[in-house]
Amino acid sequence: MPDYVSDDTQVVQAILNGNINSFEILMDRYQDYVSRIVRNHVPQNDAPEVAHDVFVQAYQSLGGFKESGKFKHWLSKIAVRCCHDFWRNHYYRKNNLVSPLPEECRDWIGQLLADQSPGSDADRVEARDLLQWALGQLSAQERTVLTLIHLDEYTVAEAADLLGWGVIRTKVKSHRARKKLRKVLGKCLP
Amino acid sequence: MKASGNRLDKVEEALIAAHRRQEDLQLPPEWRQRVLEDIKAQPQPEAVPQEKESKAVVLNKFGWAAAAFSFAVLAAVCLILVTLDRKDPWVALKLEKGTSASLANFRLEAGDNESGLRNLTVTIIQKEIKIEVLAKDLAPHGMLCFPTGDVVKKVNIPLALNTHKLGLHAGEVTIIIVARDLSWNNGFAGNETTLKKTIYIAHNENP
Repeated sequence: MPDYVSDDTQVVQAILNGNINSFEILMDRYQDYVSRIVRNHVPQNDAPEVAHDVFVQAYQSLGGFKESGKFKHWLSKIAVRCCHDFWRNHYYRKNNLVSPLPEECRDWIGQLLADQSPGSDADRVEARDLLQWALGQLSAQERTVLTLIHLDEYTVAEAADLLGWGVIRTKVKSHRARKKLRKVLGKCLP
Repeated sequence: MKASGNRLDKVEEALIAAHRRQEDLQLPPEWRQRVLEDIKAQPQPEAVPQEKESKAVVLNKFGWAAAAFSFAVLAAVCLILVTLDRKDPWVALKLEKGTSASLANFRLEAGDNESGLRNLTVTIIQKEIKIEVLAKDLAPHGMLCFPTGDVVKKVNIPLALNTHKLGLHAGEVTIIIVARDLSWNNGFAGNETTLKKTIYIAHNENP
């Protein structure tokens, strides 16, 4: 029976000592947290698979977890890297083909600019589709850093830490990604 | 152009708002079981030995320290090369009043305005006779890079040559004066100036 009082380090130690079932404690604690990160980065349909990969990778890498660090932060780094890997593989598979902008999204932009968009659920779906379509024109790196900083409101330093990049590189990539996104969106305006 | 920017801002704001209003992810009921099964199929993770990690950290730190040291050495070498004294010291030998056939009175002046004088030697040569009449060490005490005494920038020395005592005969005599400065130029040996002067002793009388 998992012991919920133990802190993360003790749980990790128990798993490393052969008590694999203790991993359930970590899943209970961080399943929602990981789901939120993954949901913000990858499409809803693919999110469960990526979340699955996050926990499997975390288990495989448990030996490298430093006792001095926070498990939650360590896990979030793995989650962000899994999302980044998802997009890298996705772009590799689809060979960077860009689909045309769906007609519903074009209509949504027209309505929004004419101040006729009441913010209904349908609008939200079309807005999300448009965002995904526009993000699809960016590289995996640009997409990940832009999502972290401009959409999820992480600071540049936090994003740099999660991605394992330098702060300057993160700042430059984020700036370029946003500029590129605006350029893509600018072409969709009527 | 500005209107287009405003419209773009509006679209961008709406997209960001839609992104942040996303519903929570609903994981399928079998998801958790599948994760646990996959984990059990994995090999047991092993803690990375602390010693190995320490070595890596030490190597990393050593690498940075070596890079910083190399950079500091390079910067120091550049600084030394830029500020290195490459000018030779100056030397002058003047004949004074009161000179006779047996006593030649000179005034020797030498100096170096940048690094200062290290040493000064005066040698007299007449045929096979070679006499060092002056050898003055002017370098301050302590190491070359950390001197503890004052640096001598200029000297003014009276030089009286008694031709009889020196065993010189009538004829041509060459006086060679060598001054060396404290510069690190020429492999720390310093810059050197040599002054050669030929005098003629008319008749060597006993005093």
